[in-house]
Amino acid sequence: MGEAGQLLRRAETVAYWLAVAPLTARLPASLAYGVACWRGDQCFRYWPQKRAQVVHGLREVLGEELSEEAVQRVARDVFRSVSCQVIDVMRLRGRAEPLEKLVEVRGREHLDAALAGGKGAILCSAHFGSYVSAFSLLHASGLPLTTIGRWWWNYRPGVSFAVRRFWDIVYARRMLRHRQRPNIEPWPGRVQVAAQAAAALRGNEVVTICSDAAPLDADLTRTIDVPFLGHQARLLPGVVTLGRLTGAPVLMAFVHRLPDYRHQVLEISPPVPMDGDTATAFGRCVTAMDGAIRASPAEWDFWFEPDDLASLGLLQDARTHAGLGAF
Amino acid sequence: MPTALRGDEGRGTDLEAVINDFISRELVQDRALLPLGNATSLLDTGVLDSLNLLRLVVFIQERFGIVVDDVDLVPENFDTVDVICACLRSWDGKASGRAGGHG
Repeated sequence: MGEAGQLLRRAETVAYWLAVAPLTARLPASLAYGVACWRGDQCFRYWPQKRAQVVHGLREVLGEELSEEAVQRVARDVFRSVSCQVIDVMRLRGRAEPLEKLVEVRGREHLDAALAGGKGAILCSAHFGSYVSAFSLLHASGLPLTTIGRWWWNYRPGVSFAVRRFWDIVYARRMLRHRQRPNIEPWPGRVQVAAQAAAALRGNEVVTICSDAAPLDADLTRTIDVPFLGHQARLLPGVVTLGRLTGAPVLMAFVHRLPDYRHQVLEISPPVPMDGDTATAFGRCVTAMDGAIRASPAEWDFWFEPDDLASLGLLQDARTHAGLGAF
Repeated sequence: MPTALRGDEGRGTDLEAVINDFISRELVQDRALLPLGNATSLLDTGVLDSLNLLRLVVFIQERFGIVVDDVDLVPENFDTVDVICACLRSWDGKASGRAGGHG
């Protein structure tokens, strides 16, 4: 994409997040998500570089499971999914009722039972579907919830003040209204992260963590190799250690978008057994993530992030990084 | 006498010995760092990562009954064995002051 094309792409992104999506999200849901899908289709069609990255990732990682036709269809759905996620964020206004009425929560009783133990609960998920908005719904429903996760624009060198402010305003601000505390961000040097999470759990809160996060260079010595999406992936088993040290049960949670694109189902599992060594216990979490992604591959964010796929050990050659944040 | 650091552990270098022993046994991966000096930086040497700090905080809670407040969970309070012990005495003093009421 040339310089003019990139400029146009950025202008479209800014316009969509600042004006189009907030207004669209106020339309009836069928119309709002229809517009989001149309926009996803346009991005798929007119953003060839990103489309090529997504297709390349799908072929490399799931190539043996998906026909070429399926790869193209899933790639288009990746763009639709990400575009719909923006509408989800915008529907978190107020007490999140506009989104709440579109999301069915299954397995809430497992979470309630876990919290009855008084040691908090850890919700383990993946960068899959509208997981951030789904967590917001749980908090809005009365569960104090805090997320362990990095905002990509924070602490990263080379990201301008204007970009940081933009994402703080259009995204983080909407999320943090539905969080008990600010995100606990595990950047290098922030050694207090796990202890902060433990403090939240001690207060019998829900702590969320995505265990498919691509390891940073500083984390590589702590990864373990586990089977994931048909490859040996490098993942951080911190969720297991956190659960064991705090006594908090670990439950898996995944949100799926239904074929009409507007309704979603958030499924919460019973507690994952934590017996066995760390690799064994973490393997159970990874198996659940693997199953969710294979069942609905278009909803995994990392097709948009070839650098992250490479860091996970799933992709040999990462191509030019553009970032989900640029969508 | 502070509430949590009772007995010999509260005095002199005994507390330092307990903390140093735990870190040396449970957290130090690079054996070249042993014996661990009480003034050795646990952050610069990579001994304390996120999960190791949590292990240390859990140990402190179980051994001394001291719950580290959120606001005290900053790297500077855990840089060396000496610093950790100074903080423990301070936190324990505050806790006993609160518990003691009229003092």
